[in-house]
Parts: sequence; C-alpha cells; structure tokens
Amino acid sequence: MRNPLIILVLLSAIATVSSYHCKKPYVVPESLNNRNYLVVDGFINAGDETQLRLSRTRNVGTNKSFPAETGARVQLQGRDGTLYFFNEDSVGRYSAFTVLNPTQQYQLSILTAGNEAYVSDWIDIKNTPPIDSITWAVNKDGLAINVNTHDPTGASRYYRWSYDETWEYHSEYFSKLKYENGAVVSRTLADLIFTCYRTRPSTSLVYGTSAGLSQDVISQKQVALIPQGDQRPAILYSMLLHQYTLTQDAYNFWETLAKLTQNNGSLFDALPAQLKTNIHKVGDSTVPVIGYLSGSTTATTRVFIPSSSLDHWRYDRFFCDTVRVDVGQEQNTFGRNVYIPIEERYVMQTLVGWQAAPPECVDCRLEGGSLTKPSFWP
Amino acid sequence: MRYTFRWFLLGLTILCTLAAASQTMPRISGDFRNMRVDRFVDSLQSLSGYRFYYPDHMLDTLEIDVQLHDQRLDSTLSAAFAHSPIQWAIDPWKRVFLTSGYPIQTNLYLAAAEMPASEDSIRAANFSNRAGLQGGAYADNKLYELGHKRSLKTPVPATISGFVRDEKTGEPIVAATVSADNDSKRVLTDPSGYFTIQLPTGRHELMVTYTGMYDARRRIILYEDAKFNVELKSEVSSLKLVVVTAAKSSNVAKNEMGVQRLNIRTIRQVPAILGETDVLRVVLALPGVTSVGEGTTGFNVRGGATDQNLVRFAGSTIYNPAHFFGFFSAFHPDVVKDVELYKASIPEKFGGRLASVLDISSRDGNKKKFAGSAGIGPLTSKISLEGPIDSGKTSFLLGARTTYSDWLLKQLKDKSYSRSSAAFYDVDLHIAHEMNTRNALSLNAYYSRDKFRLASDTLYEYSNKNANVQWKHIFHSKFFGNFTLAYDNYGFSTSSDAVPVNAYKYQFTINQYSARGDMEYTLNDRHALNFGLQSTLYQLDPGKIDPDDSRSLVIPDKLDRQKALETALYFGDHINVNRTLSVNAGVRYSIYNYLGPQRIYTYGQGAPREVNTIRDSMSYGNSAIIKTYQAPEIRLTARQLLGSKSSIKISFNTLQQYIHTLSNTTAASPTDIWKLSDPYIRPTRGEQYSIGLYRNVKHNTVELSLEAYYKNLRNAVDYKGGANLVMNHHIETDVVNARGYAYGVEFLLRKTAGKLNGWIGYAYSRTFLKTDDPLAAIPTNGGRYYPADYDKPHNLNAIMNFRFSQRYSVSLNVIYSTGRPITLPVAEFSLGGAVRAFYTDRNQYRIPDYFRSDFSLNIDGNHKVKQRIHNSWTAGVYNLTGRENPYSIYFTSQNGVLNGYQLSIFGTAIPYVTYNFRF
Repeated sequence: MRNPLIILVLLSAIATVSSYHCKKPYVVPESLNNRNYLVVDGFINAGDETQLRLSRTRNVGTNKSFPAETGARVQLQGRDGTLYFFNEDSVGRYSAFTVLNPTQQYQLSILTAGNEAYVSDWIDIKNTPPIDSITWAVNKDGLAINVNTHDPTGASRYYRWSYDETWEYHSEYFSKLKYENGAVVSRTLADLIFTCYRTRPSTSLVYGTSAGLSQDVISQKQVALIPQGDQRPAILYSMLLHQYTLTQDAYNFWETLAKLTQNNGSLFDALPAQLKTNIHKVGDSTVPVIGYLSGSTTATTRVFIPSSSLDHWRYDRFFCDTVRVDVGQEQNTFGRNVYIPIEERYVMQTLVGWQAAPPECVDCRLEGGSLTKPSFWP
Repeated sequence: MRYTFRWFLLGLTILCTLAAASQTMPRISGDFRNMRVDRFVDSLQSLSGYRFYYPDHMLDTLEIDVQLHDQRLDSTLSAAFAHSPIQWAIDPWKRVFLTSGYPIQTNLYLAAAEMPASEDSIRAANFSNRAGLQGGAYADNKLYELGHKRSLKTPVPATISGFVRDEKTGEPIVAATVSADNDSKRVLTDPSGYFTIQLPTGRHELMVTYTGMYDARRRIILYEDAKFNVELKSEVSSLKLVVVTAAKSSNVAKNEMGVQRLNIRTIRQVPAILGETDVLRVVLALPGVTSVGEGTTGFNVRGGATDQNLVRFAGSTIYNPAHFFGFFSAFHPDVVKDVELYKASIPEKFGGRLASVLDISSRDGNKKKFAGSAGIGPLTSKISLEGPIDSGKTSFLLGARTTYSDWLLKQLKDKSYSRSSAAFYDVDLHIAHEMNTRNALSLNAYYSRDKFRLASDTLYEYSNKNANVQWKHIFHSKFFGNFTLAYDNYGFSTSSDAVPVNAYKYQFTINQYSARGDMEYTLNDRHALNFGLQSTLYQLDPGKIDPDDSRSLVIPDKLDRQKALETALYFGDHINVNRTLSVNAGVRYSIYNYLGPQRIYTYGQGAPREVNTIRDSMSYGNSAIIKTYQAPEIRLTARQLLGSKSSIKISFNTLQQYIHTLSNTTAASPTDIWKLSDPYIRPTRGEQYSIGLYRNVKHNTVELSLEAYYKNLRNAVDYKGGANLVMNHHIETDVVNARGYAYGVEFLLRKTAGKLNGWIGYAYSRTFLKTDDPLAAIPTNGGRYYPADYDKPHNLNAIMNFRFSQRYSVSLNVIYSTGRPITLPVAEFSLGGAVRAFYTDRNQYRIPDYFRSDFSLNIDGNHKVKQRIHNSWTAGVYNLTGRENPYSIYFTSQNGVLNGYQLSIFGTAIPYVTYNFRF
C-alpha cells in the first residue's frame, strides 16, 4: 500500500510548514531629514486637571529621547470666553485645572517658544458614563481583562480606555540576611527585598464603539490580554481603568492610528496614510501636527485580580540556583554584590557559611519594581 | 505451392530492397534494446523520415533488442526483425511496409501510385499509419473529396468548416491550428473546436496541429463549401523524439498580440507551492504580469490593478479566483484545459475590464468511456470523473477538490497562524451535448467556498457560484454563433459571536445575470467578421449587517442595492489585406445604465464630498435610470509579416470598466468590496498602445517576441486616508479619483517542443498613479505621481522543463524581480504612552529584491495503455535556496516600543510530494 509513503510526505510537510512564516527584525536606515513635527499628547479632562505633553517627532531608528517642546504658552478658551492657562510642571508637561461646562465648546491654542502658533478646532465636551464592571477570564491565550459599560442616554457611543496596572511580585528567594559593614546581619522588616510593587501605564490603544447597536452598550470589551506565563497576575494584580468618551472623528483617529501602528503585520495590512487631526498650525495648515484632542469627563475604576481567582496561573520564573558561600568568603562575594546571602548554614551548630544567590534572584527591585507598598494596596 | 509463392515474394523483396538502396538510404544509430516494436518504429520513422505502414495490433506484443551504429535503414530492419515473424519492404516513395509472415510486394503500389484517382486503394490494403502523425486509420494518405464532384477548371473560393476533436475522448480541441498548403493559410479552432477556413476549390493539403497531439495531414479535393471534421490522436504513448513540423500555432503569423496561451500540460510541469498545480501562479510567471507578493494570487497585468482583470472560467466570470487567504487559485487542474491571457489586443467580444482577460477553458468530458483521475497532496485532495451520458452525444465532467489545511496551520509556530483555521473546496460540472451537426449545447457550473479565521474570533467566508448554458449554432458553413445565458454570483461574509451583545454577520453579494450572442461570419477570403450583442445586469448588495445572536444588540442595517445594466454591441473585421499584411479592426460600443431604486446624496457645488457637505438626497424609483455612461471602445491590431519567420504588429485599444474593487489594503483581500460606477464614481477608462516584433526560429519551435506598450488610465479609484469602506452609506465621501500611466518592454523566448521546453521572460515595466481630484482634501503624495504598489521594474522568469524520457522530466523555475514599493515611516512620535510611526508619502521605498528558484521531478508510471490505473508522482522543492523573500516590512508598536519587522511568507525551502492517478 502507498499509505506509509503518504504519511511520510505529510510529516515532511508538517516539518516545513512549521517554519513557514518568518518575521525578522528590520532596521530602517537612520533618516537624515529632521521632520520635527509637533506632537500633542493628552486630552481635555473636563472635570479635573488636564495634562498635556508637548513634544516633537524624532528620526526613525534613533535612540534619543523625544525632544520636549518647552517654554510654550498653552491656553484653553471657551466659546463663552472663559480662559484656562496651562503651567509647565516639568519639561514639556503642561497642566491646568479645567472644570468645563459641557454645553460649551473649547479651543486649545499653543504658542511655542519658537513663535509657532497652533490652534485646535472647537472641541465638544462629552460626558463619560461610569464603568459598570471589569471582568476577567483565563483563556488559551492568557488572562483577558474586559470592561462593561453603558450609557442610558445613548450619547456616548465612542469610547477609549487607558489604564495603570500595578502588581505585587516576589523575588525567587527570601533573604533574611544582609551584608553590612563587613558582616552578615539579619534584615529588619524594613529592609526585606522579597516583595515588590510595580506600576506602569498602558501602552496600547484601546477603543470601542456601540455604534450600530440598538443600545449604547459596551459588553466584554477586552482592554488587556496578559499572556500565559506572565509574572503580573501571579500574586496580586490591580488595574486602574480610565474611560473616556469620544466624538466620532476622534474615534476614527484612534482607530486609524491603531490600524497603522499597532494592529498591523498581517497579510492584508491597510496602506499607511497620514492621519486627520484637529490641531493645525496657524498660517500653514499643510504642516502635519500629530495628536487629536478631545474633551470629556473621565470615569475611573480600580479592580484587583487575586491569583486565587485564576485557575492555576502558570508563571515562568527565572532560572535561579543557590550557591554555598563559606565563612571567610563574604567580602569576595557579598561585599562585591556577586551574591546575596539567603540563610546561614550550620554544621554541628557551627556556622560554616551561607546559602546565597545572585542579586537578581533575591532582590525584587532589580526587576523594575519598588519596595514601597502603594497606598491602595490591601 | 505456398512455399513457392513465399520464395517468389522473397525474391521480389530483395529486388526492391536493391532498388531502394540505389537511393540514398538513411543511416540509423541508437540503442534499441528491450524496446517495444511500436516505439522502435516511431523512432525509426522520425530518424529516417520514412513512413511506416503495418496492420493494427500486429506489433503490440513484440519487443526488439538491437544496438545500431550508423546502419542503413534496410540492414537495420533486417537486424531488428531477424528473429521475429515480421517481414518488411521499402518502396521508392520512402514507405516501409511491415507484414506478418511474408513481405509485401511494393511494385504493385508503384503502379498504383501513378494514378492519383486511386489513391484510396491504400485503404484496401488494410494498413494503418500506426506510428504516423495522426489518429484515424490511413487518413493521412486518403484523398478526401469535399462537396459534390464537379469540374475544377477555374478555382473559386470555398469554405471548409468543421470540428477538431480528440480521437480518444471526442473532446473538442481549442486553439488547434488548421493550416493549408504549407502554412499559406491558417486559422485556429474556437472554444468548441470549430474552425472555418477559406480556400480556392481544388487540391489542398490541410495540416491540423496542436501541442501534445500528433499532427494530422489531410489531402483533400475541394469542390464546394463543405464540412470536414478531423480527429487528433494524443501523443501520450509515443516516444517523444523531436517530431518537427513546419506548422505550429505561430506567434509570428497570428494576428493577436500580447496573448499568451498555456495548456494544462505546461502548467502541470511548473513546480508549485506544496505541489498544487496552480493556473494563476503560472500566469504570474509570464512577462508583463506581476503581483504584490507571493501570498496573493491577485495579479497585475501591465500596470493594471487586480480588479482590472476579467477572469473567466468556462464562460463564467469569477470574481474571486483564489483559495486559502489567496495562496492558491481556485481552479481544479484536472478540469482545466488551457489558459489564455490577453494583455494587449483584447478581442471585441470581451469588455468590462481594463487590463487583461484571463480566459480559462475547461475540458469536455470523455464521450467514449468512463474515466477519472485523483490526486493526493499535502494540502488538498482532488478527484475528477468523466464519461458519456448517452451514445456518444453527451458527456459529463465532474471535478471536486477539498483541503485538509487546518491541521497544517495548527503546526505553525507563529501564534497568529496556529490559531487560524481554513477550509475550502470547489466543485465543477461540465456537460456537453451534441444535438446534431449544427447544434451543440453545453452546461457549465462552478462552485467554490472558503471559510477561515485569522487568529481572531472573526469568521470569514466567501463563495463563487456560477452557471451558464451555451448553445452553439452553425447557420451555415461560414456563419456560426454562440449564445450564452449566464449567472454569476460572488459573496463574502464576516461574522463574530464571541461577545453575544455584539454578535453580527456582515454580508456582501454580487449577482450578475448576462445574456450574449457572439457571431462569427467568414465573408470571404479577405474578411472574417465577428459581431455580437451582450447584456449584463448587475445587482450588488454592497453591505448588510444583522445580529447573529438572540442577545445581540446589533441593529440590522442594509446599504441600498446597486443595480446597473451594461450593454455592449460589437463588430470586428479580420482583414487579410494581402499575403503579408492583416488587420483586425473592431469597435465595441458599451452603454452603462445605473439604475434605481436608490437614494443619491447631493453635495455642495465645488465643496469636497464629505459628510458635512451633504446638501440633499434624491430618491429614484425601481429601474429608473440614474446615470448613463457610454463610449465606443476601439480595438485595432495590424500584423505585417517580414519574410516567413518574422512579423511586426501594432495595436491600439481603448476600454471601459464599470465595476471596481474598493480596497485599502496592499494585497487583494477576500473582503474587498466591489462598487458599480455611479454618478460620483465614474467608469475607469484605459487606453493602450503597443508594438511588437516576433520571430520564430528552429522550425517554429522557438518563439521570440519583443513587445513594448504605453498605457493611460483615467478615473481610477483611490481613497482618503483612513477611509471607511465597510457599511458606508455615502462611500463617495471616502473615494477620490486617480489617474495613472504605465509603460514597459517585454521580452519572451519560448520553446514549445523538444526535450527542453519552457520560457524565459523578462519585462521592464513601470506604473505610476496620482490623485487627480480637486475635491480631495489631502491628495496622496501631495498630488504628485507615485509608483503603484505593484510597480516592480525588473522581472525575470525562467520556467524550464527537461524531459529525459517519456516517464521522467525535471522542471526548474528561476524568478527574480525588483522589490515592490512600500511606505516607510519618516519619523517616530510618542503618543498614548507608546512610540508610533509617522508616514507621509506613499511608496517611496522598496522591499529587498525577490528571488526564488523551484525544482521538481515528475515521474509518470509506465505507459502500458491497457492498465487500470495510470500513476504519476511529482516531488519537488519550492524556494530551493530557502531565501527569505520579504513580503512586507512593517513597523508596529509593542509594549510602548516601535519595532520594525520584515515578514516573509515562505522563508524556507519547502519540499513536497504529490501522487496522482488516472483511471
């Protein structure tokens, strides 16, 4: 029979298909033309403090930080004539308390230190409904965190979300000892380096709409997906989710930006295009300005996801091995921060040395977090 | 007594042999060990130029065993048949007669042959030209008298018409060359195998040739208009020694230019991805055809967009000719007969698309016996069945193909693919019925369906449904018509039910109903006319969204149906001005009516068309004419022969296209929507000027051509940045007009016969587009010309096949092209917590050049005619060098950082084996 041969053929096919699609990093040659366009990052927070970050574009492939637009005069003006002036809190960061009237339209104007004037279109102020709930579920791709909201007035329709995530994590080994002034001593509660907390803002664009639905309902909209094996939900994870309502044009801006710069890499990518913004350079509207300003109130909710609510979260740890450091070797090892002592080793009640491990296995701060427990942490 | 007679005959033979020897007798060399006699005779025939005659079945079971070195033909025969009962004789007309038991007396024929009227007498001897150049017994030498016998003192023009068919299956042979009197006159058979040729009354010799078939020679005396059918015999069981004849379907002599014809045999030899014989991928290897990447079968002809190709399969319009995200073409290779691609001179009978017509014809079923074939490959399995339905008048051909690609996808490392799933199948049915000598009916049906998920909850489905009935009627020998009724349907849908509240199903459908009558009338020796009337009703449902769950809140929405009628009247004349100059002049007048019911928005005069400039809307009733476009389309080609081996051709074409795809992706995607021209989206217009030089060498087996073209394109569609093309009630607000031009030079060297065959094509071509719409707010690239996505200046394709023997052949492809243009970011910015890319001008950079070579080994099972199953194996490697040809370069924001990637689709060498069998 020919069957064995056919099976062989199919097996060879599997072997080759497995390596079909390949993705290799591509480094674009550094461009010399300095585009230097203004980037306006932020939104008009109608009920609280508005923070805007003004910066400039940088050349592709450079590692330099984005040039901040410092020393600009920024103001927000209502149709009713109200004026809000922004202060530059830190370099390129401007803020103002903007308690706005939702029936009014507002316009942002920027006069840079280089005397370039920029002005936005008139911005509607939208009301953001509260977040109904945040739910989560583990599926085969990881932990999906979803948001639910609705607006009984039906006026919201277009939404954007951002979040700050905080999680608690532990180093691989609990060290009760430390090396101090030439001696190994016990740690006090205050010097423990086992438990850390890390907070960071979201980086991907999350947007959604109920346009086309009979009610203004957002159901099970995924705002984050934490892949299997990730450290974050292993002990306790928390998300502070912010919800903003957008106009349709603003929604189109974010959706297009995401299509072009975040959800691409498929076989059927959209053609790159220039984005339509609502901020223009005065006197030359052909100069690109990056960003889209919309105005709304914010709805914010915090949620905690304990690992106990996740069914067996598998967590890929570093590979860490402990070593034995004999008495007399402290200076060479602990003193040079090659190892950190974990616990004493005794033979016949005599101290012979210490069990120790490299700092990255013992000191949780080396993974980016801090020892300070956030005020909201339970 | 008998004994004596035998001695008498033997004596005569010796005499004759001596007589023959007095001429220059050819000398034969070769290794003929363990060879069947019929093959041996085949070889001798081609080596010696002598004709062999012997009774049917006589040689079937014998084998010979000789090695020859420069032996005369007579001693060759003596040596070969020394230990067999076969006797031989040679006559002075270079004919060899083989008999069983005793040799024949050639002197008798000597006498007979001097009397032309009794040429028929050869028939009496009950010989067949078994190893000869054609199928029907003794047909080569028979003199056919066509029409009623009458005096032939002054020749008058007369017409011969008839069908060319496959002797074995009764299938019509399309595009066979029928030529008369050493190629002084030639015609090609039409899709039903029909031909009409005009000749003066009197004696002629007709040659009917077709690749893969023995040439047929017919000696005729033509008295008046007559019908004459010719059956060709397949070369399958022959030893493929070079049989060179002077009359191949000649690139030089035919009037068309920019036309490439490929038969399925050629297509099968080309190595393919996973061994899937793929019609469209072979078309992509022709000069002048490019694509945006190897993941797509969407093709671009001479700078045209992918929607500017009319893809026809057995008379049906196929809107989406691809399977599996576009990796494979949707045509069952066992059902396809041949493929014709028209790039420059598009016949008057075709219209509605600007760039090309790809006409794929299907085989007819076997009229004589039931047969079938099946194949197993790593990706698909396929089967076809065919046979007669009644007594040789009706045949059917049924083909089906399906995939088991799903489990293959699961093996992919890349998560986004291993989470994908894909399934497809296609089914073809072709029924041919010959009512009588004047009427033939055929029914063609095609159905294809694809279903896939691309690493998300969204399910994509699309499907082609096509059916047509064709009636061929021969009014009289010079005048025949094809009447077709056709229904074509294409639709896709996307759906998701992951979140019940948002569960939806989105659907798009095109329905096309058409009726056409295409007539050909051979007026006289100088004029062959073709004319016809075609009418197509389009009904397009451009979008419909429905809830897909009882809890879903999706509001059902439906875009207005678009309806239009395209009517075309055409007339063309093929004029033989003199022996060397011929002209094809034609005009196609197309009228397009955009019909109600529909609501059309009106916009402020001179203001950009945007949602906020909508002034009003106008409602039109059912079938009310909303807008009419009409234009004459000119089709002109002229050919001047330069000697017998070369020619020069020029052509000028104008075309109109009334249906467009709207897509803002680089590659043709299965969810691209089509849009009919309306008051805002005008018909796309194209014109092409081309010139070509053609030369055939080596007895027409090597064709050389050099063609140059210049093309203009008006009213093409382009999109505003971030255009929304889905469920858009006023799509005109997102679409802008563009124009373009393209030019190029194409060189092709093609060898059609011999052990080594294939082609080498090179094309230099450029295509530029620009936004040409005063109403566009941000014109693409500031309104300047920019290279189109498929602008790949250099293209080199070498497609070669070397046949060692009838059973073994190897094929090699070598493909090189310039990388396609891409848009790279010109700056980076930080927004919303992440670094992102900023793009301005489109297509200012290129991905690295493309290079690929493929290799395959084709093994046919043994060629015993009388076995139940004929096997064949193909083993090969796609992308032999394993080069990672980039499909795209993209920049994406991940965890706040901007990363650039180069994506290759087949970044490794891919071996495959497929097994096919016929029964």
